[in-house]
Formats: sequence, structure tokens, C-alpha cells
Amino acid sequence: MNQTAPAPPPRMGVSGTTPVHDWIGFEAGGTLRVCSGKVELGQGIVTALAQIAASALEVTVARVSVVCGHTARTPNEGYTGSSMSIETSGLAVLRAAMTARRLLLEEAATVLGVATDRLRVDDGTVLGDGAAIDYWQLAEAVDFSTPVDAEVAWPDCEMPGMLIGREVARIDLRGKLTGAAFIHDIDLPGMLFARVVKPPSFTARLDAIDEGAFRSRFPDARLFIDGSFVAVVADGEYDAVRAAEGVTALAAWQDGGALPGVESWGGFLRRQESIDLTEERGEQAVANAARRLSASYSKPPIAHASIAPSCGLAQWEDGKLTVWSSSQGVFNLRNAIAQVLGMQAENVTVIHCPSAGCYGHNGADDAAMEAALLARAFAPRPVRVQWSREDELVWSPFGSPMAVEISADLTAEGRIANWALELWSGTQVRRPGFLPDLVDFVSASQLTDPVAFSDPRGIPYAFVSSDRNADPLYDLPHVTTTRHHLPDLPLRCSSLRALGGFANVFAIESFMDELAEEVNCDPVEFRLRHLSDPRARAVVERAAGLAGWGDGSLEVAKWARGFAFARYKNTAAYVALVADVEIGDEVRVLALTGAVDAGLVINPDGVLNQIEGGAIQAASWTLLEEVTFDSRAITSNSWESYPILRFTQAPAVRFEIVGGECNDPCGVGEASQGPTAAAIANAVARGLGQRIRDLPINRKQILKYASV
Amino acid sequence: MAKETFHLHVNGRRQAVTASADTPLLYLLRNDLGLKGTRFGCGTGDCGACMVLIGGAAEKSCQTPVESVGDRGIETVEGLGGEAALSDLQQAILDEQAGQCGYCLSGMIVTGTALLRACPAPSEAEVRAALDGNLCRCGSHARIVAAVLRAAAGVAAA
Repeated sequence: MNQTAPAPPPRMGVSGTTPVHDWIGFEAGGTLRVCSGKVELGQGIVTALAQIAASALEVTVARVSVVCGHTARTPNEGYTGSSMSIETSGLAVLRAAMTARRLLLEEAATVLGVATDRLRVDDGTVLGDGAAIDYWQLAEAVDFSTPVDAEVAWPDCEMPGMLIGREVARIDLRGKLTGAAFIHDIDLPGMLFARVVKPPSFTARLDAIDEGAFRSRFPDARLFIDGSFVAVVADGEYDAVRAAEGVTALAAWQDGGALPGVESWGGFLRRQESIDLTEERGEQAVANAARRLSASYSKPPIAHASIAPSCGLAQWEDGKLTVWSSSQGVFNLRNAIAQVLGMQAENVTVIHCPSAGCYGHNGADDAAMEAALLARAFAPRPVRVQWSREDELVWSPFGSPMAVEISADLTAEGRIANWALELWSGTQVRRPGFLPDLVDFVSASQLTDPVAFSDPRGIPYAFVSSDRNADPLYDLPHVTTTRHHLPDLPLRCSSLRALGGFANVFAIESFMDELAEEVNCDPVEFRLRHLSDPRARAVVERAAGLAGWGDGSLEVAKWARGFAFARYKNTAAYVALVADVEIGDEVRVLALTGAVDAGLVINPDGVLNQIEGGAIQAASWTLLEEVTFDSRAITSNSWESYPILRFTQAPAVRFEIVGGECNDPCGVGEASQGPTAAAIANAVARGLGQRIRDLPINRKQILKYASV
Repeated sequence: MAKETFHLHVNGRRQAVTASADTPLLYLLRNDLGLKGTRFGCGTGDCGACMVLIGGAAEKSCQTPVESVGDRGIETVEGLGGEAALSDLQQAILDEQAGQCGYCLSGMIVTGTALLRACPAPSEAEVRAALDGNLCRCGSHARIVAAVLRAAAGVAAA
């Protein structure tokens, strides 16, 4: 089956038609309110947005309070994803704040009788010719329904006296060290604690529950059943926990179908029915046909494995529903919940609250839907749904397994001539409310009157996102890219950090090393040979320089180093790095050292924190992580069966920001994932003398290859 | 299970809670005593998000039935330092910006505090070994280690 590529999705939030007051407000007590549709996931966006507004208006960051992701109070900016929040919401806040500044200074000029070019601002007080008046005094007379100035662009990065480009401490971190700070910590009066009882497998349906036995054994809890959606609620949390555990023994389920055996993901994915799309650019190039290489790579499904199991709260009062969620897209979630409950969207309010780190579409939306169903059943009492660790590891969507095959031929001069990449993947996006009528909640699919999961065949190719970074940034004369979209994978897959970019960069950057070896060229030199983009070259050269690439100092027994580079999505941040590894029975990553060009940087430490964290997380994915299952259910259901990198395994990290050019900001949140995997794989290939092309590069694989 | 009253010494205060004897301390701290800084991460003792000090030792509150606490004093992250007066380790975490989501940090602070009380000048390897039972998903490991070492250096200098 073939599809043509539709237009890319529209960007939201940068339109010049929205009024200033949608984004910026001057509130009592000398505070500045900034509203954003983007949400804090631990990535530091709240601090960066506060910095942008504070810079534009010349106030201290301490005066700024940021309201995030609230369907009744903030603009709709879609999902907080794709490393776009600074590029979109940051620009919107900059435009709104610069427009507010112009309006306030015009008003001040009138009130003070001083020309605007003789006014200056000191922490919100406008000064000129010895007179002074502050923003909050001026604000009453200013019409903030004025549309934002759409022509405002990112400021020159050399602009003096501004907060942009300065290290500002995260404004939300202090509170997270000392007490209540997360959605899990919300206490609503009269709140019921709920646990949802998940079926033994994804396709199982409920036959019956012995409700009489439940009532006698768990008098402090109440049971809720609608179809196969089963939950318990209680006044005390532990009563709900115990009752949820007890229900399992009282319930009979009917299994709906077996999970297939998967010997290798590469082979399994190639055998699935696919929807195919081939794109080609450039023209057939002349190559030395004797030098043609081909290799196949794969990654398994990977879990979000958020450190906090998902939580959702909801309250139903007078036909209106309020939902608290750590969803990445509160407006989309609102629409999907309203659809399931048969409500008008305006009668549902969704309020974002922070949770633990979220790296895409995890269980947060599901927990919110479950809370909404229970809030309607137990109205007007608010209900708090808390997932268990097992729920989180089994029922959150996974990052899709992927296979990538690349072949290339080379010219006599050792340059790549014809390049062909073929990939196989499930959808990388399947979020509730992502498109109209896409619902995709586990609970909704279980109801007596169910709202079924959407058919992945209906997701347009532009949204599937398995092709992120499938087309390399390198100067290649002829590139063919074939995507096989697999709609029938037996696992629930959706967005996980970097989406298809993780597997594609892992494969491309592994293959670049294989090609370099084929022509007997240094891997860094081979990449530079194919890079004309000066920013890409600078990042590659700086990473190599920082790590002392090629100086031979680390070439001791059992240590090896590898290099990799990518520009995330070919539009976001550039990252290059060197991985130093030690190989024994397993791989230990000792250090990750590299460089990043993120264009105009709002908060340098924020950028480094994201790049470092992404690199360490990607090291965990690369070395350890794989969702496993038997013929019935997911078996990677605990921290023992789904291990992640620990302190004694975590590498040292050192990254440097490069690029003083005044380029627009480009997102960093997902930029280090793919390059880290490839740098580790390349180091292992050098150290082991054998290339491992299937992730994870775990103990089992090392022992297999070491014995070859 | 029948509910009884237990007297707990939490952050220097004696507090009564009514619960079944097997109730994990975690739920009582969070819901009955309003000490939300102790986090639920797994309920199986595998992640360290719920660590508290009991009788000075770092323990997993999700694996601690209330009846087992007895007279031992409990210290939660709130007892180690509040927003107005951070502990040395909390301050060091801020100084290093050693967190992304921050959800695991209560447990890190408790485990790190126990380490620094027992071993005021740990090596990096000792810090990593002490924190090995505390999971972090955002990849803040290197900064958290740096923060514990910074707090140790600050304590040593004081």
C-alpha cells in the first residue's frame, strides 16, 4: 500500500492575531503573569519562559509567575513535544512581552510627558527626566487586547543587560526539594483514593467479579465496574491499594488473544503488513561498484518508565468536569475526555500539574480519563487515580520497536555516492485527541459502551514520525528513503523522546562508522568530509577537540571510544559527542563528552541539563532497556524486570555550548538521544572488534559476541 | 483489618495516626500527616523515592509497616530543611541545579543525608554506591553526585 506525503502539521502559538493579554498580565503585588500552553515536564520551560518575559520587560525573574497548560486560562499550544517549546511558545511570549513593553512605554511617555526614547526601565519602573511610574500603575490605562506584534523576532544574542543567555536557577526546583510539588500531592476536600484494576493482558475482557466476596472482605472500599473497566475507591489510600490487590483473586477474565513470539525485532518487523512510502532526492551518482555496504539495525520497544506512576484527579459538579493531569496536551486531552463522556468540550476543564519527568505520551492521559469516569460515578466527590509501578511499566504506551536498513556505495575518492535507507516502525504518535476523533484511552476501550482504539491506518503519514532524522544531514548526492508503517503491531506504541529519531540516528551514525572503516578513514574526518553546514562542522570539531579525539590517550586495553553526530529533526539542536566505554562482561560507559549548538540560548545551564540528562537516559536505553512479553502479557513489569541505569553505572558527562552566531533558538530536549546510542555502539564496535547492530547492547549480547 | 492508634515521632513532633498495623508508613506520612515530600515511586522498595530516616537510618517508607516503627524517630525531607532554611545538601542540589523533574530528589536527599552523617567526606565512588538504590529517570546522576560531594565539602569547611 502506498501513500503520498501530506503537508506538515501547522505550528501553533506564533500567530500575530492573538491579544497580548492571552500571554501576559500585570497582577496585584507587582507580579507579572505569563500564560503558556506549554507545560513543565522537568525540562525547565517555565524558567526559560519567565526569563524571556523578564528580559523583554526588564523586570527580575522573581516577579514572574507562569501559568501552564490550563484549558480555561492559557492559550492552546497543542502538545509540549518535539523540542519546540522555546521555538513556539518562547517566541509567542517574547512577542507578547515586547508588545506590552511598547504599549506601557507609550503610556508612560504620555503620563510623564517624556519622549519614549528618553525612558528607561528598572525592574518594572519606568524612569525618565527624574520622574518615575511603574508598570502596574500604567497597566490600568493600557489596552492589552491589542494584538501581539508578529514582526518581533528573536533579539540579537549580544544584546546587553538582558537575561536571555544568562544562567538563571530553575524557578520550580526549590519547592520540589522540600515538600508538596506534584500532582500526586494534591489534596481535595472529600477526595476518594482510587486504584484501577488492570486486566491480566491487553486484550482480556472481564467475565465476572464476586462482588459479594469483595464487599465482605473489603468493607472500607467500593467497587466500580463498567464493562471491563474495574476500579476500587476508598477514603483511605491503603484501603484502596489492598482492595485493588484483592480484586485480582475475585475476578475472572477472558483472554482475547496471544502475543506473538519475537525472536529478533528486525525479522519480526519485516514480516508485518505495511503501508509504504518511498521518497527520493538527488540523482543516481557514479560509484565504484565494488565498494558497496549494507547493514541492518534494530531497537526494541522501550518504556517511558517514569519515576512516578501516573496520577489523575477529577471532580464532577453540576454537569461540569474539572480534571487535573500531567498530560503533555491539556486541550487535546479535554477534547478526548469530552468525546468519551458525551459532553461539550467547554464543560470540561483540564489543568496541568507537574509530575515526574515525562518523555512523551506516558500513562498520564489514561489516568486522567480514568479519574473522569470515576468522578462522574462518585460525584460530587473528587477522585484521585494513582497507577501502580506495574501499571506504569505495562500500560503506558511504548516507544515503537524499529528496524533500519541502510545501503550505500562509495566513490573512488571515498565519498558516499548513492544512499538508501529503509525503515520499519509502528506509529510514533497515537495520543488521545491528537486528531479529531482519535481517542485512544485504555479505559474507554473497556467500557460496556466502548470507544475503541483508533486504527493506526488512519494516522496520516506526516504524523507517524518514524521518519525523524531518516534523511541524514550529510551532503549526499542521491538519497532514497523508504518507510514501512506497521499498523498492526501487537503493542501499544506512541510518542517517546526523539520518536523515530533515536533508531534512525543510531543506525545512520553506526553506518557512517562502518563506511569510514571501509575506506580506512578516521570517523570524525569521514563525517567532516560529508558536512558543509558550518554549524555542523563546528559542533563535530569541538566535540572531537574537547574529548581529545585521536590523541590516543584512552586507547588502553578494554577501553574504547566512539563518535556520533546529528542535528535533531535536521532543524533543532546539533549534538556531537564522544563516548568512552569499558568492555568486560558488559559495557560500562565511562564518559560522554560533546558539544551542542542550540542557536540562541535562553538559559545555558538549562540547555546543558537537558543535553546531559538526555545522554545519560539514552545510555540507559542503549545498554539495558527492552520491553519484554510472553505469549500473554508484558513481563517487564517491575524495576527488576525493566532495569534502568543506576548511579554506579552512570557516566560522567561534559558538554559545551558552541555557536556564537545569532541564530534562532532550536530545541534541545531530544537532541542527544540518538547520537549517544550511536557513539556508544561505535565505541563498542571498536573495543570488541565486532559490531552490535541490535539494541540493547546488554550483557547477553556482549557475551555472545565476545565468544565469537 | 482492625485499625489502631499509633504514636509516631515525626520531625521532632509526636503525632497520632489511626491505621491498620500493616499500613505502610508512606501513606500515613503523606495522607494523614500531610508530609507530601515523601514520594510514591513503586511501592515495592525498588526505587528509593519514599526514603525517610528512621532512627537515623535511611529506610523505604513503602516497605515499613507502621507497627514496626515503634519509638524510633522519623525524619522526612520536610524535617531536614524547609523552603526558608534548606539543609546543606538541599542547597548543594540547588547550587548544582541537580535535578530535572525533581521527583526522585526527596529520596536522594534522605539517602545522601544518611551517608554524610555516617561518612562526612565520602569519595565519589562511595557517593555512587550509597545512592545506587535510588533511581533517577531524567539522567541527573552526575549532577546529584556532584551535589552530595559539594555538600560534603561545605560541611568539611564549616
